[in-house]
Amino acid sequence: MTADLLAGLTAVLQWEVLLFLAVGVVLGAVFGSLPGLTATMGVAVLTPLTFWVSAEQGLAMLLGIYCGAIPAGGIPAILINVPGTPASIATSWDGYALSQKGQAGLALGINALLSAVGQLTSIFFLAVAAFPIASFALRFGPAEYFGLALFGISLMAGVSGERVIKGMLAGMLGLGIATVGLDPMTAYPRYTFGQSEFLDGISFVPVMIGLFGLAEVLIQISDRWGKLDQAPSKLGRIWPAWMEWKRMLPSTFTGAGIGTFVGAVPAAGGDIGSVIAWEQARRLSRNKEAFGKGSLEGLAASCSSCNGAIGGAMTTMLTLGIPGDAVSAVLIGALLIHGIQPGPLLFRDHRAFVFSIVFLMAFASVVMMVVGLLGAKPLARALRIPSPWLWAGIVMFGAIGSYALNNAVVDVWAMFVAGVVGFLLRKADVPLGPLVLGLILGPMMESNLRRALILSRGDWLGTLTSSSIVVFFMVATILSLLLPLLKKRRAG
Amino acid sequence: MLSRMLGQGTKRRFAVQALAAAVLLFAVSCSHGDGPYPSKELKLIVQASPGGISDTVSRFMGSLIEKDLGVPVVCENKPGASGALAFSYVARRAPDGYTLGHASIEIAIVRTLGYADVGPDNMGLICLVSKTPAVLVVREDAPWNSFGGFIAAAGKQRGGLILAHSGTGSIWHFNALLMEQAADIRVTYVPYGGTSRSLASLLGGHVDAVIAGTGEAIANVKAGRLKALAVLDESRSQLYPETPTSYELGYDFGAPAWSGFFAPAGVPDAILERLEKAFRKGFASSEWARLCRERGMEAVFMGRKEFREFALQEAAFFGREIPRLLTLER
Amino acid sequence: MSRPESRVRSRTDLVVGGLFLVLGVYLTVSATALPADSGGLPGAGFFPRIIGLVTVLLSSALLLKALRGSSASAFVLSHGRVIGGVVGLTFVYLLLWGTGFFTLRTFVFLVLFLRFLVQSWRASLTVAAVLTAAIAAAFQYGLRVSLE
Repeated sequence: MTADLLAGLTAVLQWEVLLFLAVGVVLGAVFGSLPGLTATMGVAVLTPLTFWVSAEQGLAMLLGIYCGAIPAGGIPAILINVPGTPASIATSWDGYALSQKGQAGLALGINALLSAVGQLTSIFFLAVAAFPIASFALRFGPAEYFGLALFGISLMAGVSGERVIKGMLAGMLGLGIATVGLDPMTAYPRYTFGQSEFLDGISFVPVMIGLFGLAEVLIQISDRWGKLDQAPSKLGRIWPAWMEWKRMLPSTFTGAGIGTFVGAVPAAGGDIGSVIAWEQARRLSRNKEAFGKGSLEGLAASCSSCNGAIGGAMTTMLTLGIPGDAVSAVLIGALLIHGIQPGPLLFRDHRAFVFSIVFLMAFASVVMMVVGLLGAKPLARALRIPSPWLWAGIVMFGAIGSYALNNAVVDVWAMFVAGVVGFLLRKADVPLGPLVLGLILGPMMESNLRRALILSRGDWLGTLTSSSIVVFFMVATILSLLLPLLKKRRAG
Repeated sequence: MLSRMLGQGTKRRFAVQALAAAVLLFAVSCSHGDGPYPSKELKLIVQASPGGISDTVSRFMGSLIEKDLGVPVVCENKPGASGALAFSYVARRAPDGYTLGHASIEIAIVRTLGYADVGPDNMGLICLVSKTPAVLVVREDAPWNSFGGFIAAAGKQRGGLILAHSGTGSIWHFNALLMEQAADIRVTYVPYGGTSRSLASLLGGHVDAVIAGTGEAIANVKAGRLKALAVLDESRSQLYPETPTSYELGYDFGAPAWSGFFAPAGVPDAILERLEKAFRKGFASSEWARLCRERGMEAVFMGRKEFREFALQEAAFFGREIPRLLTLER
Repeated sequence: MSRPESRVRSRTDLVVGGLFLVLGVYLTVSATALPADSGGLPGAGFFPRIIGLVTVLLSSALLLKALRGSSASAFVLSHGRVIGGVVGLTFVYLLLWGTGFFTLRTFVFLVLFLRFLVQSWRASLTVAAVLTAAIAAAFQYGLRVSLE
């Protein structure tokens, strides 16, 4: 064990490997922080380049991109309310509010520090408990996925703030958009209007770029036009005070834990994990009202959970050979090129290599933390450039990035329509958080409910109470729907 | 003569230089248009997302033929509608040999599924480079130790066993339907979005069996977590030397997935021949053999004539069988 | 709270509720064309129907609430002309997607975009040039995306 640990460490403690790692982290930071470029895209584009270098060097670069992109996605979320990657949607809720209060520095600092905490926690889990986590992930059958999706959808009310009915309607819109395309079970085309471009449905990432990129630009024009000469908001201090650390601690670690487990479950990633962690932190907090208005606990939960998902996804990928999210799916391909077959045997036959991966990820998260802390000031200063320049950049990168995903013009139009509709919805005070939940969770809920019903052979109730995980999610769903009502009654 | 002219006045020298530059430019632009093929970058359209097996095959082959053709080969992913979007995109390009596509087995299927009116008959097929057969896997603690045992159990309780595959209309789904038909059994299907998800549900004990590509299941088979009951092909797989094939066991079915390359219809045969030569050279390299071994593909080569015949046969087979198999499921 | 203001507020929710009601009815009606079940289990039309019905219910609730005047949202579209211009300009740019001269087209779009947002000619030209170069470097040369 110790010998493997040392062998794994020495394999990565070479200057070429560390150089590749640093290059990867910086590239990842670029991919993550530009709306329109995602972590998946970065890893996918650079995978072919790693054909020609050693496994450690190639992986150093790819893992660097992965570990750099997710924290970097929080930077534009905090500074301009435009999440750089889908995983940082929840980061924008409190992060942007903080930076509007003149605490952009603190928000960027927390993002850098707690992203690293989230990553390191999940990497620690990967190193010591890979197989228990993997077997937990495997227990997710159709009924469990349905429970998870249902629970996620029950959070729609929670992330809607005061506007519960409109939030739920936005959620329904998300669920509706998600039904476009071939039916996941019978491959029957739905709402495709005979166009083969719609058979695979409306791509999620362009819609997200539209809702949070283009729509945000329009909102800012509407709110700030004619007032652009106002002094730019202050940066403030970067390092959190001791009291703030103490306040953030519980939500950081529950966030990292939730992120790790949700990330480990195949087909659920940091985007879902961070919304769940944010909502859990809100429920457990003594200061619920501050959530969404610049709560440090909320920011801590979202930063640590979307990064915790990295270690979780890697755990499932390495132990089972099954990707935990979109990035790890591409990473499997990269590993196979180097003759490394992820799966149970990897931990028996190539233990040193597994430790190499653990060390590479740990180094990458520390490097990214330093990059994030050092970059906070210059990045915040970059905001002093005139807003119209920034808006032009967001619209441009959003449009081209949407196209670059699948080289499909239909995705660009999806971005545009989502942007205009998202702007109008936000102007009408309809929250967009539930819409995103509906988009992500709709397909998961529908296909797994129908799978579960096939497996149930008529015994529907039995299936939905068959395992402790399902029962847990069902109870949690009912509680999350009932508790607000009970509280209202008690208050009224 | 040129040197004597250069000796005279600056104005004249400038004019001559400009003329020379123009001639040079013209020559260069001519060589772009009419020079020996290929004279500029080739585009290779991949019908799937980055990172998958089609993408790996295309990028790898692309980099191998680059060496022989002497021009860059740039891969572009256009996923969607089982590949129909990419196939019809390539079909619409100019037939100049500068836009190629990766031909997965879906090229012989999408017309039958109604996704796009394209098929091997209106393509300039170049070559086939690999095949991936299907394998039937169960958990290691499953009560069946052989394909016969599985078939017997599935025959006894019709629809009692649950089989997961990578999606309705996918090639692994059709392999399962062919199995039902050949062995006269009925199983209950649970479609998943992709093979890795179906394997996860098998490992987790939620379904009884999975039909997947040989390469996708191998990690867990080697680790002893899954048992391979049969490879659904005519000849044995290098990855599963111990596992019998469906044909050996007396069930004549099995539709392996395959990978090839194609150009739009109407590309001159000389250019197709040049491309086939480049691909053949890439195919013969040790790198290609290594990739096939590591990704669980069988390295098989067919030239353009043979591939055309084969693909037309496949299209005819699926065009005939799919409508029938899908009614069988109901 | 003054009277006219509260009327504006409930009108916003009336419009939102009305539009979602239309969406819900559309989803419910169009879902009837999809098979409701397959082999005794929910089919392709099952989920769209549920989503449609729930949308109808929720939007009716919103409409009722708005009619009773107890809503708290106001749709104030300030600077509508600027927003309309930006949306229109982007729309035209996207409409010309794939017609060739990508770099030139993008540069012209960016200059017009920035000029429209009252940036000086110098700033518009410089920023447009820098952004166009960045896009070309990142996507055309970095990611090898073919943009025409």
